[in-house]
Amino acid sequence: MGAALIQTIYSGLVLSSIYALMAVGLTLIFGALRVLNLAHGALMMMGAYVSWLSAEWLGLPVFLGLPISFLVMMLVGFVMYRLMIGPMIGKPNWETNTFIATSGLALALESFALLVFGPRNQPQPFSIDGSFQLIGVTVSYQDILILVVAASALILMERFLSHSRSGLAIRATAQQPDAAQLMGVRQDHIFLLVLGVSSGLAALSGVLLSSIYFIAPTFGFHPMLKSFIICIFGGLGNIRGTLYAAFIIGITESVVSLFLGVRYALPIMFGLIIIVLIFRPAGLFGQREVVRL
Amino acid sequence: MMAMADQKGLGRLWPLLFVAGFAALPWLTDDRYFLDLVILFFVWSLIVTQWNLVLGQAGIFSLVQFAIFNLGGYFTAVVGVHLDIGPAWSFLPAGLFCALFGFLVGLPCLRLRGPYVALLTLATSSVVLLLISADTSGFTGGGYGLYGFGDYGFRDLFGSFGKLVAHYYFALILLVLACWVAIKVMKSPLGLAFRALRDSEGYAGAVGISRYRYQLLVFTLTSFFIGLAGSFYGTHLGLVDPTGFDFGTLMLLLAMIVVGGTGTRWGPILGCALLMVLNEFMREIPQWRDMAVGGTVVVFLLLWPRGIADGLARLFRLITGRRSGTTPASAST
Amino acid sequence: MSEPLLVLEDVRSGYDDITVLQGISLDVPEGQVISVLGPNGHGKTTLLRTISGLLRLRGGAIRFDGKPIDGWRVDQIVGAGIVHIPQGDLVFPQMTVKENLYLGAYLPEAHKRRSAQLEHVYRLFPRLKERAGQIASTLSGGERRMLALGRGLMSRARLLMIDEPSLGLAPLVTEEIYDNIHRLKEEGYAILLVEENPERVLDTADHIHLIDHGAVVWQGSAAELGADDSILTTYLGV
Repeated sequence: MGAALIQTIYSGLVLSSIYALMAVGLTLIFGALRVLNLAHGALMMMGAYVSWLSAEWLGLPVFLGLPISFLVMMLVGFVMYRLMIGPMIGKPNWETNTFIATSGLALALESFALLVFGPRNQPQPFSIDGSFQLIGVTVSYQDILILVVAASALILMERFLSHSRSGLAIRATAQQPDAAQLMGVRQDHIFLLVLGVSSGLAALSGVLLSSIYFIAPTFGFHPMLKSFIICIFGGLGNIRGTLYAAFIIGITESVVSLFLGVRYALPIMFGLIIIVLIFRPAGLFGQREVVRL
Repeated sequence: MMAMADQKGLGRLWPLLFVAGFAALPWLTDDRYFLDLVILFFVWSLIVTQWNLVLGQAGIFSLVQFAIFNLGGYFTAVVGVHLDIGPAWSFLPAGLFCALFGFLVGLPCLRLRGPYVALLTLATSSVVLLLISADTSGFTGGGYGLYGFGDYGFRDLFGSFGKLVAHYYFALILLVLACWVAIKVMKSPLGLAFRALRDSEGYAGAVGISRYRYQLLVFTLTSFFIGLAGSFYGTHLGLVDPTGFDFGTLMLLLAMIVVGGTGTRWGPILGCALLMVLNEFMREIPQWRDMAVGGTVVVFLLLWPRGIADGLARLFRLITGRRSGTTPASAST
Repeated sequence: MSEPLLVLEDVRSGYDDITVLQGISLDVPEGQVISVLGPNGHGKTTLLRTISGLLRLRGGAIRFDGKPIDGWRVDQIVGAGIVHIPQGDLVFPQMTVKENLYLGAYLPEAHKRRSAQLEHVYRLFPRLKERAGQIASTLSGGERRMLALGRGLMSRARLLMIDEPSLGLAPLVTEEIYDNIHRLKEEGYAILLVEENPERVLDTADHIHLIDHGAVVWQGSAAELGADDSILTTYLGV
């Protein structure tokens, strides 16, 4: 039992790092734009397919799948902002409308994928086979790859947000949008950047997650839901809180799955979040209405 | 979301004409497929008008209504299969069960702000679906669903076609009833006061109108009717299964509201009719249909966010030179 | 005699269906402190937001340094040298004092010289230097006010627009803030000062406008206003 538990917690850790990537992208968009991007799951799915395509159709080396996916999806994020989200912001009911619009986009993208790729599960080529034993835990090379990619991405994000001019501008826009403008920050540029970065992160998490499971047209929906739960738990807009939440929830999910079965993981997580929200409506780490990055 | 075009006199006539027209339909045709489709139209119209009450009127961005519809069907099915209680008896209880469910969901969710409500209700729906389809004990029928839980007995009384007609009127009456109650609620002192003070919550609280209580009331009430519709439709189909919770159908219903327009009473019904036409044309090619639905939603939100009904209402006002009963508020968020 | 640095001619603006500014005309000459006084809700903040570009102009014209700036974007207006120090400071709450200040030097030109400019601001506000690493939301009211001012000075400002510098501050702290404003005037900044309380303004401003219901109802020198008590009472019921 003890060994199984440790293995479970370890898997939870690996999964959490992917969840962290997913959730950070979402919370960034909400923090800066106050938009809930329901197309995030679809973007993850597309990212996974792009990686697959670059290896299977274009015959490019497998390891290029990740960066190509990131870049392609970043462009998709730009387009999504320019054509859809940007024009809606500021108009009446834009919060509801962007929510519904991104849902509609998600449906369209999933159906498109279903049409083009069919419902079959595809394996994700961006992966390494093989594993080794470490203190009684089976560690696969893929796990290491995932942890390395996720950690690198998160660290780069942190540096970007805290030290670069654009990163500061993003945080400023999230914390005090009017003042940010008065500093000369161009809001539409920031929004564009955030959408691009977030979509890129979605791509990364899509590739990594599908390397553990598989690629399929609707595989992004439940992970996206989990991401939202994580974001709410950590406080929408609060990156640090979201990171903590990702690990708490990821490991909890693994442990719950071990004892109660995988299918009850989401319902239980969900039940927990409801309870938390009753006592702390702004999430475990969030603050009332104040957005932090 | 507040333009309520409410013409007196002639305005009251239209709904009556439509109801009369639909009531006459079974005498004019015996195309079973078509009548069945109209029954679906009644059911979906009920869902979207009730849902619009929650979304547009009470300003609650909730996505759980669709799940509640399915729950109504499941309640009747489960009670029929496991307790041998016929749908005629479980009809009202199904509504009450759903009302209770809606109430319990609303309790925590409505205390929160916009995006949280949306996410949580979406998550609630997903969890309900998961719990139902994951069940292997036979209680909910898991992935296969439930069937054989009986019906209202119309077949024995009126024969096969008669049963269809009976169900037809059942659905029509239910729709009319639900709309009537909805209007009554909206026009009640509480409803009017709430509408007037929707954007000034502080003032509303000061004069004793609790936004939370009103929203909870609307939530519970609409859940009741949606549950009834679910119970009916499950009985009509003779089957309930998890595919009823399908995301594509959820978006289809949302699209009806978006296309029709949230600001008007009848907009969603118009949207329902239009999207059902689309749905019928594309029945054989579900992926294309889903893409069309998704695309329609995006396009409408970008270009005609107030929906068709609002456009028609304006056109009507332009032509007749009438002024509407209430002024459209340029909604600010 | 060249045109004043900032010229407003019959400016109208507002929110949604409401027009708040009903045709305001005023000038801010180079190196002077011009004050706008009036009760809350009558357009003082709206005026500044219109000049800085946060609000769109609905009528009239605005010229800065001889050039029309109607319809310019906020970042363009800041780049031209108009800095709006908003009411309530609007500091970035989860950032440090230093990060806040650096954001003031966001625009490319200012960004290049930000280290030097930071030293300059620290000299003016030593307290900010002490608290450089502190999170802005933990600062006292007066310190936040100084931070907002300092942040505004980080770019190539020629005109400072300060919205209610005495808001929410104790008298002694207000005193300190106004000393700083005096120093800024001596350094050559043109200042458009908005206040609800006329007290401080009389010592600081060269010229004063009284605003009521979105229109200028009186203007004159500080001396004139100071000499006649009845003006304030007549026009503002103060």
